Amino acid sequence: MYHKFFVCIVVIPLVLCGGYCAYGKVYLDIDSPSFQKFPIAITDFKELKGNQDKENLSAWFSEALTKCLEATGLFNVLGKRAFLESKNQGGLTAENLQFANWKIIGAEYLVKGGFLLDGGDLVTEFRLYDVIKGELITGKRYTGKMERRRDMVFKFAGEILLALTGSKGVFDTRIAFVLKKGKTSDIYTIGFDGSNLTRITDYQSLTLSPRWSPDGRHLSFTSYRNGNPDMYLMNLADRMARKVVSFRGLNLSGTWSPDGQKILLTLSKDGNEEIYVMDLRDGQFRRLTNNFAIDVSPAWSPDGRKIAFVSNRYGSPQIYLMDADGSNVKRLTYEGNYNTSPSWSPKGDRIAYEGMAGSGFQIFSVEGDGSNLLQLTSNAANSESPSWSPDGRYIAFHARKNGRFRICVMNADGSNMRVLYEGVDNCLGLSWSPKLTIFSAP
Amino acid sequence: MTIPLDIDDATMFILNKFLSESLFLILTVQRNLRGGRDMKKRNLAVFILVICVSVLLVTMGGCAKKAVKKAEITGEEPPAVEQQVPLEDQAAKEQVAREQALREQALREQALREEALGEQALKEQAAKEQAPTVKEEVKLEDIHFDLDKSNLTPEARKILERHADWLAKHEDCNLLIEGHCDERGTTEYNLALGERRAASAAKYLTDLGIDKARIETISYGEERPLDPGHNEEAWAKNRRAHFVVISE
Repeated sequence: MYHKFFVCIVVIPLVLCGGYCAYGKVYLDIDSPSFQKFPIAITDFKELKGNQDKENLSAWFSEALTKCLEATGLFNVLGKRAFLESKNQGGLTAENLQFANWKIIGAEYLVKGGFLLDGGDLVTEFRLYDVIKGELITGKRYTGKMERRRDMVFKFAGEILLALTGSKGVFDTRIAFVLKKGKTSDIYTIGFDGSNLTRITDYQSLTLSPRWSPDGRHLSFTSYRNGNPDMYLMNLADRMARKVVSFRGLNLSGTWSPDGQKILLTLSKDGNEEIYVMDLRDGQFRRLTNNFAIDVSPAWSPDGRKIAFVSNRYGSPQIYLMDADGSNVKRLTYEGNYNTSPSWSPKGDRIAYEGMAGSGFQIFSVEGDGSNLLQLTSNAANSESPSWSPDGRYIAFHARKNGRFRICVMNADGSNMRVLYEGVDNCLGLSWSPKLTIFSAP
Repeated sequence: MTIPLDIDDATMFILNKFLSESLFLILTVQRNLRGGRDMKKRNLAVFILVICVSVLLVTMGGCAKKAVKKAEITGEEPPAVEQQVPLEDQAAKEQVAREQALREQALREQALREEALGEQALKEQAAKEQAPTVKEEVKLEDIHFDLDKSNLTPEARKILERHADWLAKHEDCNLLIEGHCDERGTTEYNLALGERRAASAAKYLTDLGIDKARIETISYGEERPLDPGHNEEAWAKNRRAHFVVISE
């Protein structure tokens, strides 16, 4: 009898609650070939106190958010000239909005926002509306320092993506790469939307091959700043770099283990280039390859069980896989006679690399067993150094064409390529960060 | 069981008061019936208690629903969540910081160990560097390599034989061999290939009797081209080993 009543108490509220809570959100399949980009309108932001907008933040916010959403390749951001409403018409709230004015120009989603300066703090408000239903989807208010305003935009862009696709995207990531000017090169980072190019090293020397630690707080790289190509570790919080490996010959940084406790590297201290693993806790090295050929560019699989690397043991450089202890070496690539720069997808199911196709280099990807080879780029440019976004949706690479150098991002299937950076200086060795805590900073 | 879902505040107040009072009453009754003398009465009391709690819970559910409904209708509540930038969980942050500190300590110790070695090496290097100077007036001819190859061509071997003769006659001079590649291919693979090219030149010279201690190698991969062009002529020039003569 007690038992029955107990069940009664617990179940009734749950059943009723269930009715309120289980909306069963349905997302569009953004990976489907028939996916149509989300048509979205973003209005200039409102100064909420009625003060003069001296720095033109109003337009800055809408432009920054536009850039950010366009970078995903998932949005069709409508041009402001198509807007029927004038700049300051319509409020931020649903009751002050004329959804018909937006529906008629083809917008299915609308972003409205405002900001005010409260003492030293910037307070911003972002609202995403469903134009068809005429209702608010999500709204956020952020408070922070003026110089963190791009982070607010990134955060809300993440909210928009979460609401429409079920995943927050990679706005909180950056791409590290090397810019070479004359005889010196340095490491830079750039935002996912091409914003905020930041110089990380300044050694008046050759500095190459940046690799992120899995927590995004450190970069390892190789620099000639003391003459020899030695490996350094930099703490990104204070940008202090320490020389950690400096054997005679090459000390080339490979990728970090998924737990961040070990690092792969190429050393030539024993007379030829071999792959080693260094334990960061005790500084011990273990040699993984033992072959007279070149073994270079080691990359850990996301589960930490396999290592992809480049070797020319059968003549030309090809990509090989081995177990994390160096055993069980298998050749992965057979097409073409120059395949290098392996990069694992975050799911671990595919490996992207660059390969010689015709007279230039293109980006390819292949499954871990060598099947299902795809050529992802096919332009006249030389495309090299692929690196996956942490959500596996995109691949970044650098490209060279007619003396211009670019950092590009494309969808993992090779579609929707866009340019993040373009200049006359050579771009090299690129590495996409994991999700970062303070992302506009480094 | 039908429960009024849109209850106004006054009804709610009365209902809550009624429920809490009856709850109190039942508890009192139950206490008086302790001892199990009258099971039937006691069961009844529990039954009433259970029903009352259910009603209370359901009413609260109704209120929650009401709040949700209100937000949905107007959409004019202040934005759903107020956030401070940056958003970090303090505890998680501390945990990460602790782990970080431990890891960094290990790295620091490693770095200190390395630095001790490094400093010694630097001192040695500095000592070496103070005395030896690059003899720019001596130009030893570059040797060239085929694409993606580090083996010596017959021409390269002839050139190296002349260099060996020169080195044999100039015992006070040492050699730094730089390995270089053309711009095609990857930075890292080319660094390795450049290392190979410098190493094969060094090996041939030592095979010809030059003391190993007199030869250093370094690879610049594709990063220091002699000819900045993007054609076969430039590439052929850039696939080279370059010799820098250093006097002690």
